[in-house]
Amino acid sequence: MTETSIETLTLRGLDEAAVTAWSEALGDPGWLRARRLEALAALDKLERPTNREEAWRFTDPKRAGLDRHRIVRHAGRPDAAGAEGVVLTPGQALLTPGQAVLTPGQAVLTQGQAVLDHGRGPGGAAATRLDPGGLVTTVDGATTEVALAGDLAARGVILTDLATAAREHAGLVEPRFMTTAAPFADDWFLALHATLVTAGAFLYVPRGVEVEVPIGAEFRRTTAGATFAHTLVVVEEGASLTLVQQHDSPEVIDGPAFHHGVTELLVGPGASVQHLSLQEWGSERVNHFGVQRAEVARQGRFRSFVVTLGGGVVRVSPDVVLREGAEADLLGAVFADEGQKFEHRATVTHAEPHARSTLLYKAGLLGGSRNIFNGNLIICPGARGTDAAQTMRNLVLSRHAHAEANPFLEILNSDVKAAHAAATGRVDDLHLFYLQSRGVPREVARRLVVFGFFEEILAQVTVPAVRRRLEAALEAELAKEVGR
Amino acid sequence: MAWVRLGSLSELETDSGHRVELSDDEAVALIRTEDGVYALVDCCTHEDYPLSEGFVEDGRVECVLHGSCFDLATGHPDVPPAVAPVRTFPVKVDDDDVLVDLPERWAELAENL
Amino acid sequence: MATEARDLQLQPSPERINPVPEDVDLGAYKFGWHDPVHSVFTPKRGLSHDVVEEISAMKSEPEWMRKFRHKALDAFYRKPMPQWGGDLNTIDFDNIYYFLRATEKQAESWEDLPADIKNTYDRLGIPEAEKQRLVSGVAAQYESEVVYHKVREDLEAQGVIFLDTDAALREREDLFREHFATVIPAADNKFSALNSAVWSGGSFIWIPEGVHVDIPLQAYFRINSQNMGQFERTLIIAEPGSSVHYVEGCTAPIYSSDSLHSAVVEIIVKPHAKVRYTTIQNWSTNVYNLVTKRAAAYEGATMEWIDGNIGSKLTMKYPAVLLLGEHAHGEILSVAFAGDGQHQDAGAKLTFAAPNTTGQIVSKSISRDGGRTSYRGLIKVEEDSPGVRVNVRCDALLLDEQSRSDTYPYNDVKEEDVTLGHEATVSKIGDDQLFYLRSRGLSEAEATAMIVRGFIEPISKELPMEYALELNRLISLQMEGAVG
Repeated sequence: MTETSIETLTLRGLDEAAVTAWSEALGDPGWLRARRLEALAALDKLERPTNREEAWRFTDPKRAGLDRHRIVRHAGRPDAAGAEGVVLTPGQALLTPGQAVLTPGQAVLTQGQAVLDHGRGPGGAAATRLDPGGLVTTVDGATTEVALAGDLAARGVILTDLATAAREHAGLVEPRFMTTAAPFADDWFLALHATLVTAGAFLYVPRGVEVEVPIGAEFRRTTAGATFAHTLVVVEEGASLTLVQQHDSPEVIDGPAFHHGVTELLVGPGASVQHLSLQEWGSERVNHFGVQRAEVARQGRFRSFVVTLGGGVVRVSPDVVLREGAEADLLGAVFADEGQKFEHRATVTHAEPHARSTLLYKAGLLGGSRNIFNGNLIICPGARGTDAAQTMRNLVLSRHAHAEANPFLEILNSDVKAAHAAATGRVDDLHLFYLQSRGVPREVARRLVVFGFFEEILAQVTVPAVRRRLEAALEAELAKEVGR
Repeated sequence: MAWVRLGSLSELETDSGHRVELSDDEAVALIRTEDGVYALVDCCTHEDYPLSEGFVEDGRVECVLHGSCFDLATGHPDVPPAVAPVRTFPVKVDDDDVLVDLPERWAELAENL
Repeated sequence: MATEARDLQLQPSPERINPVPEDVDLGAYKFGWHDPVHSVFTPKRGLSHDVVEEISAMKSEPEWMRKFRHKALDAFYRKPMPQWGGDLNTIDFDNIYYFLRATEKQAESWEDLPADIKNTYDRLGIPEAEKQRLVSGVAAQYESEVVYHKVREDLEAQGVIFLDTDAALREREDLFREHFATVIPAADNKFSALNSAVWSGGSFIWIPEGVHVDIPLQAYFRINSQNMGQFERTLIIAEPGSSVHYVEGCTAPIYSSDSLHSAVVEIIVKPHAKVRYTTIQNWSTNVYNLVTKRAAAYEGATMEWIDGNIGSKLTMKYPAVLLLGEHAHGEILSVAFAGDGQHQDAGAKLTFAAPNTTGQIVSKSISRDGGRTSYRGLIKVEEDSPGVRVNVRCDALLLDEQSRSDTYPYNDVKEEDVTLGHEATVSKIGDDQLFYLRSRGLSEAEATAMIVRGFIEPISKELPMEYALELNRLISLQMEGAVG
C-alpha cells in the first residue's frame, strides 16, 4: 500500500476534484471511487435539510456543525495533535486481515483500553470488559486495529476494515454498500456519508455459521472535527451473530466533534442477528448522528439494543424492514443529563406478511436534559397477519427536563394487530413511600425505583459484560443526582 | 449579568429584528422600534423558531409561524398558541453601540464572537 | 306553495337579499333577521384586497375590523401551504367565490342533488318538508317554528346573547371586540388567515355569569342567510360559573357546491364555567373542510369538544383546548368515518399551562373502501404545571384491505410532576365476532353495523339523542353499501 498524505476537507471545498483526490488517498478501488462520485452528484441535486422539515424538527441538522468542522481522518496514535493542518497517512497501523490475534476468551487488545471499558463508572474492569471474538477499532476517522479470532476466520467469517473490504472483498461489498439498506439517492446526509466516509468495518458471516462470541466495533473520538464511519454487516442464511458497537471518547477533547455513523445490517433468511449500539461518549462536545438500517429477510430474526448515555446532541435512528415471517425486537435504554439532547427515531416497516415486531424504549431524564422518542410503525398494504407493538416510556427525574414521545402508526392493511403506548411521568410517589416506610432512605429508594424502571430492558441484554456495564453507568448517573 | 456590545445602532433597521447568534443553542434578537432597541431570546416559546424574523408593530413582535405576538418590553405573549413569556434583557444605547445586559454564560459566549 | 318557496330562494333579487318577514314564506325567512346589506352585490370569483374591502364595506364594518381583514389577507399570502395532512395542492384559490349568499350556492332543486345524497335522504326516511330544509340549507321548518320561538323567549329572559356573528359585531361591538381573535390570531395558520380575511356568518354566543342554558343551542336556531357559510366565524364566551352546550351540523349529508370550507371557532371558558361543543359534519364529498377550533379554559373551567367527521373529501381539524388556569379540564371526543375517496385528518390538541390541570382524548376512526383516517394529536405540558394528568386513547377500525389508518401523536412534556398516558390500537373486525353475530341471524352488513356502533359507543353516547339515532341509521346504511 502506498503511503499518501492528504489534507482534511471542508464541506465547501467538496467538488469532483476534491472527492477524487480524497478517494485516491484512501486507496479506494475503482468501484468505490465511482460510487463516491455518484453520491456527490446526488448531493448536489438534493436540498440540504433544515429543522423546518418533519424528520429534523427535533434535532437541528446544524448541530452536525458541518459548516464549521473539518472532515478528518487521523491515522496513527489517537492522542496525536489537534485538528488543523494535520498530515494524514492512510493505511497506517492496520493489521492484515485473517491474522490471528485472538484466541477465543483471550483478553483483548493492545490499543489502549479494552473495548467497553474506558474508565467510566465504577465496577471492576474485568466484569465490564467484553472479550470479543473479533474487533475493529476506528479512532478519529481511521481504523487503527483489526483482529479476528483464528477459528472464526477458519470458518469463513470475514472481519476487516472498510478499505480492505472494498479492495479484497469487492464481490461481497460492492453490490451491498449503500445500495439496499441505506441508499443515498434521496437522503442528503447519506449522500454526504457515501462521498466522504473514511473508515469502518465489514463483517461477513457465511451460511449456517453461528458466531457465539460477540464481535466488537469501537468508534472513538479524541479530537475535534467531523468523521464519517461505516459498518457493513452481512449475515447469510441460517447464520447468527452478535455485534457490539461502542462509541466513546475521553471526557475532555480539544474542540467540538461530530461523528456520522452508518450501520447497514443485512440479515439473511432464517438468520439471527443481535446488534448493540452503545453511545457512551465521554465528552458532551461530541455530537453524533447514528443511522442504523436493518433489512431482515424472510424468517430472519433481529434484535437491536440502543443505549445512549453520553454525548451532547445524539440522534440515533434504528430502522428495520421486515420481510415475510421475520421478527424484530428493538430495545432502548437512555439516560440524559443536563445539557444533553437525545433523539431516538425508529422506523419499523412491515413490508410483507406475518412478520412480528416489538419496540420498547425507556429513558430517564435529569434536569436540563431532553429526550425524544419518535417511533414510526409502517404496515404496508399486503402485510397481512402483522403483529406489531411499540412502547415508549420517559421517566422524568427532575424539573426542567424535556421529554417527548411520538409513537406514529401508518397502517395500510387491515389484517393486523398493531398497538402502541407512550407514557411520561415521574417516579411514583407510592413506590417511594412504600420503600421509605420500610426503612429505605429516600435517595436509595429513588435509585431502586429507577433501576426497576430499566430492569425490563437490562434483563434482555444477553451479553453479560454489557449488562454489567450498563448497570454501572446507571449507578454513576444516579450517584450524580444525589445531593441535588 | 454583564453588559456586552451586541451590535451597532446604524445597522439595525426600524421595526425589524436582527439575530445575534452566540452559539448553536443561544441567540439574541435585537429589535429596533421608534421607541428604542429591545433584546429578547431569539426563540418563540411555542415552537423553536426565531422571533427576529417576525413582524414588528405596536411594541410587539409577531412570530411568523403561528401569530403569537410578544410584548417587546415584558416578553409576554398576547394570544395563543404561545403561552409562556420569552426572556428579555435590558438594553443601553451608547452612541452607535447597542449594549445588552446578559447573564454571565451568554456574556462569555458573546465576547467570543 | 313549495314552488314559490323555491323561486324566492333562488333569484338574487334585492328583495330576497333584504327579506322583510311578511314577504317571506314559511320555511324560509320567517324569523325576523334583517340583513345589513343595502345594495346589490355581484358575486365574483377570486381573492384580493379589493374583495376583502368590498366584503367589509358591504357589512358596514368598523375600521378596526376592516384593517384586521386586510392584515389577515397579507398573512394568508405570506404563509406557505401546509405539506402535511391532506393534499391541499389542488385547491384553486382564484376560482372560488369568497362571498355569496348561502342560497345562491345551494342546489336549485331536489333533482339537482347528487344521487347518493338523494338516496340517503330517502333511506333515512326524511319527510318531504325536511328534505326541503336540507336542500335550501336554511334549517327551519314549519313544525319547529313554535319551538323556536319558545326557545328564543327563554334565552332572552336569561340574558343570553345568541346572534349570528355579523349581527354581534354590529350590535355588541365592545363585547365582541374584547374577545374576538384573542384565542386564534389571524396568522395562526394559512386557513385561519383566510377565514380572518373573508369571514361571514357563524354564531356569537355570550352566557352571563352563573347562567346555565339547559337545552342545546343549535346552529339552525340562528337563522340567517349565512347559515351554511363556508367561512363561518364562531365566538362563544361563557362567563364565570355558566354553562352551555352548542350543537352544529347534521348527520344527513349536506350538499354544497363550495369546494372550500374554512371555519374558525373560538371559545372562552371563564373560571368555573363549562362549555360543550358538538359537531357532526357530513359535507358532500367535493368539499375541503379545513377548520381551526380552539378554546381557552381558565381556573376550574371545563371544555368539551365532541367532533364527528363523516363527510367531505378532506377534513383537517384539530379541536384544541388551552388549559390556562388551575384545575381546568379539557376533553376531546372524536369520531371519524372515511369511505371511498375520503381523507379524515382529524385529531386533538391539549396544552397544559397551569398546575393540576387534566385532560382526556378519545378518538375512534373507521376506514372502508380505500378511505383514510389520520389521527393527529398534540399533548403539550409546559414548565411549572405540576400535577397534570392526561390520557389519550386512539382506536382505529379498518374494514377492508384497501383502507388506511394513521396515528401521529406528539407528546411534549417539560414538567416533572406529570402523568401522561397514550394508547392506540388498530384492528379489523374479528372473524369470530362476525361469526357469532351471524350465527344469531344477522346479515353480514347488520353484524358489521352493530360492531361499528359498539366501537364508537363511548362517543355516540355523548351525542344529543336525535343525532345518535340518525348516526346509527347512517352506519347501517353505509354498511349495506347502499350509500356512497
